[in-house]
Amino acid sequence: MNKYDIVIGLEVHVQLKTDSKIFCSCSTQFEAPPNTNICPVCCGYPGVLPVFNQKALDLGVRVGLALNCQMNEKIYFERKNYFYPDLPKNYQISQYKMPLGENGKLQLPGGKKIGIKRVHLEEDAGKLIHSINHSLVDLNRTGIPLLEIVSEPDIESAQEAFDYLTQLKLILQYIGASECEMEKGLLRCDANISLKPKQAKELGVKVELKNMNSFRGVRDALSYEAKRQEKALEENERIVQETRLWDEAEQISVSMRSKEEAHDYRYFPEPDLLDFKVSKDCIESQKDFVGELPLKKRKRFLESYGLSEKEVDIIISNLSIADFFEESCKEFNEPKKIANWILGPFLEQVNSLADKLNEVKITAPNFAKIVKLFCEGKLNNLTAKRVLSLALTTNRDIDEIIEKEGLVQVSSEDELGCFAKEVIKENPKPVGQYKEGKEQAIMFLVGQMMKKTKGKANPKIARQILEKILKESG
Amino acid sequence: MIDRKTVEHVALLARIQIGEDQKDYLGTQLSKILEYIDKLKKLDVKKVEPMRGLHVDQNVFRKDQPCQCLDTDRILNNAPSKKENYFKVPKVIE
Repeated sequence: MNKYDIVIGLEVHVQLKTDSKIFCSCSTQFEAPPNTNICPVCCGYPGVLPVFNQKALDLGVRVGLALNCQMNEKIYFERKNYFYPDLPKNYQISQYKMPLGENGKLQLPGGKKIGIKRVHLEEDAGKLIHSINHSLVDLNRTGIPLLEIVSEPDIESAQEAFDYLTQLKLILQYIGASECEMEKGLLRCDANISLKPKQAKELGVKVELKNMNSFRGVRDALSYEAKRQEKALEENERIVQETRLWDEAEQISVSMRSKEEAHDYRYFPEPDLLDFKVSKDCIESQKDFVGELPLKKRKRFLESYGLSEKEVDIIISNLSIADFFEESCKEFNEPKKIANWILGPFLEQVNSLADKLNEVKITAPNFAKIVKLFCEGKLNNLTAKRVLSLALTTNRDIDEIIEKEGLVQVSSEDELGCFAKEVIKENPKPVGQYKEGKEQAIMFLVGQMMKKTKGKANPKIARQILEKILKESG
Repeated sequence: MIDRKTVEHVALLARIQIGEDQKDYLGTQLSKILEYIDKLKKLDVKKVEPMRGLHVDQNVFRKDQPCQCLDTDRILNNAPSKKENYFKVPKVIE
């Protein structure tokens, strides 16, 4: 792709983390049985009136601030009119002329800044299930608060789009505005992409891409589309302004044959809702929730803990892990060791839990204690992992676990000496190999020691003792 | 002047069916409405803020507290067609 510049803009919809819908009191509970969270307001009955959920505004303001937007002091809603069975009112309450925030920016880890054109509040539509002869409608999702985040066309590659989405998701999760789980539909992304010859001032004809189910899907769809458009331009074909659907299985984009009639949404101010003032108090109170954002945390972690970029990226990819790491370091100031244990045994065990981090109960001080005991040689690798697994979802007292489970590491020479003699007696072959100069054979004997002591032997000392006895016996 | 084509376009947007014999007189009526709007447009409102409602100094909010929705059955019973707990509509795929 040397002749052309790629121009990409992304439109992201995120579900704001509220308990009730944006204009009525129905629950936003995920996966409720069909049509159980519905009422006359979200079903669009005549004569009902929407009332704005304050939390939706607060969270929207929080996102706007985290994305460095200029927040409008006064906002209002408008009706976006279209007919489709997922929208019982025949209009979506959205924002048009006076969105919540404008002219923001998002910085990528590499330093580049992507402009944020606007963020605005709107209500979600329902879900359609198509069968052969008819369609079924579930209105549970109708009226769930969404924030639409529109980027400027500043993104120059499929990978950059991926990085933008990753960073955006991290920010939204850090500030507690959205869970952002794409598989639950809490975050959706459409992309606009066009190509223009290098140095050309005018943008090319853009294509809208829809139906991507993951960030990787967005990246694949954009790479595919860039190549498709380049080929078309090279062959002097005309690019048609259209919407194309990403086919994940086939890894191709397919034109969505839409009707000749162009969309005409006939926006006009929603007469059922008054204007809203976004007060200084509201903005100040939301600033407090923004806190340290992922990029800043990344920089600080790299500077203060002596960890690699890879280690830091994993730790900061989740705010509760980042906090857990820092609290643990306060208890036991060995960041590298704490990080090793978080990235290794801790995450390994967490990933095997059904509900992952939500099930974790161990406190940072208790976790730090296990790592400390390991580093002091009071627990070995095996026993420390065992203690961790017993405390992970219970937060049982560490000392109590070690005592009750008999996991105190055996380091005394007398005790280990007895086991060593047994092992040597029972394994003449490896002993012979060792004596013939095959040093590796000692590891087998150490393994047997571990087995005999049920994993409680201090492997380092066990090895020393074995070597000593074998040397003495010539 | 609103011609027949515009009338057809507006009818499609509003999803209403109109007969051939209605198109001309609806066009005339719509034209008259627009003529009147043109008259209004002549007013000098440069210094007037657009007004979307009264009481603009006071925000009206609802607290984020979910409460019991209506029974699914009660709402579904108002629908022209249903299947299990879903509203049933003619097949639509845009």
